[in-house]
Amino acid sequence: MKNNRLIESLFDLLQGKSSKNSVLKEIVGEDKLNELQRKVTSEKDTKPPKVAVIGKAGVGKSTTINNLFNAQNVTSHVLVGTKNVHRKVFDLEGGGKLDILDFPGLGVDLEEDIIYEEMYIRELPEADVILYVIQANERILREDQRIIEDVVLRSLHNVIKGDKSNLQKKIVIGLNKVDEIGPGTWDRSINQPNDEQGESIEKRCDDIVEKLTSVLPISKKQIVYYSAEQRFRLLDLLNAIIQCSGSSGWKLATNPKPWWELAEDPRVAEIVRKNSNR
Amino acid sequence: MKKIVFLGKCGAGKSSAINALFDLNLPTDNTHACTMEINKHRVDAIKENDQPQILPIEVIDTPGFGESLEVEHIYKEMYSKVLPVADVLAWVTQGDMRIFRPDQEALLSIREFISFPKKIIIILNRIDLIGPKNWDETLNVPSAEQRENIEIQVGQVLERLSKYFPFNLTHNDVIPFSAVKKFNKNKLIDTLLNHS
Repeated sequence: MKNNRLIESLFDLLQGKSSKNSVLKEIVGEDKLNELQRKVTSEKDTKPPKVAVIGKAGVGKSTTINNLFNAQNVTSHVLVGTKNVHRKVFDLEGGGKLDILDFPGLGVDLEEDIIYEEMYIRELPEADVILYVIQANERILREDQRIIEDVVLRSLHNVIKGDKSNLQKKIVIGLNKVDEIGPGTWDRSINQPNDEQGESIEKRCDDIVEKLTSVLPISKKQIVYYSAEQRFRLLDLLNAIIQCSGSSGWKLATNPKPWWELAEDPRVAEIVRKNSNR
Repeated sequence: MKKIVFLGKCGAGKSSAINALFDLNLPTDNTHACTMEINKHRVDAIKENDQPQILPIEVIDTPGFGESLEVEHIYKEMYSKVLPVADVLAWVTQGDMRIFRPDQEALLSIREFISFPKKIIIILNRIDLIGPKNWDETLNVPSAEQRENIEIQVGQVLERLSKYFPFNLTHNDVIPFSAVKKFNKNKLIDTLLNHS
């Protein structure tokens, strides 16, 4: 709600309801202030951060979305659940929205992959955050390496511009199904991994960093382990997505970005910052 | 002596299946690939239909493909050696997975050798883990929901893989199996040993 107040105070400021407005206008110039106002309005109404949920088929992408947002998307045990990019804007508790894109899983079939990979290549560049889901109970990452290299990196070459760290900033690795990792069994009484599983999770994370780094450098901090089915650490996952959304998530309650960052001119941002009540 | 070669993706459970079928003790591990080379084992298979019969056979265990790109050519070379001498090819797939692309890619890469075995069986392993994972422990059979999903999965296997084999496979060539539960053991042995 703090953000809404911030936005309101900006509107007050820009619409002359605040005494500081004239001062701002004088220093910044009317055009630039109007431009900033337009941006704030359009961002507020139309542009929640876009989150692309991608990965191999069967890793639990749709279940993750369902349980994160209490949605009711179709999931399946054996058939491919998602055949198109399903897009839906979800309201977050405590303010803000996320625009979630549920992608079809890859790796089911050579011929179908051709169609799905086209969707990835078309839609992925639009995403502010990429949530790459891996299942903890499978240790082979060859297919994931291939998807990252052949699909993700290829579709985002305009975003990457030769520097893979540009992409690294946009990626969250979600390690799902940690309740099914072996050896060890899930402690149902406290809904936590038991000690053995805890160790396995650590090892999985290290292995993922090592194997994926051969195609895209990632750090262990980018991996969020969770279980969608057990609703274990889903909030950590949500937080990581919001943190990762960076400036595109400036109005989210959990990660309020100062709205003046929307000004492209750093001088304008600086002046507005100084003159706001914050 | 009949030679049966077991092939499949890394982690599909080839060694576990062989252990369960022929009471062997090949090393298996749920975090590391164990089979790094071709292993041949002489076993006495027991056919348990009308009159129990003991048949000496040779079981050939192979390293699973799909572990990493770097070692793929080594595996391909191994497969090129065992397939021409095998009578039966037992292709092991993971029943609880939707991913068929690695199997398809592997089948494409060995297509010159795949027509040597006269008989091909697909073992749909790990069906105890097929969703919703509520295996009927008292009867040691899949639950009603699992049976339904196994049917769907058998259809998926045929649809996704059949075209990569040299001849058409039918429902009878895909055997749902669980090495852990030893489910369908006798049926699978019979299918592997029956006249080809």
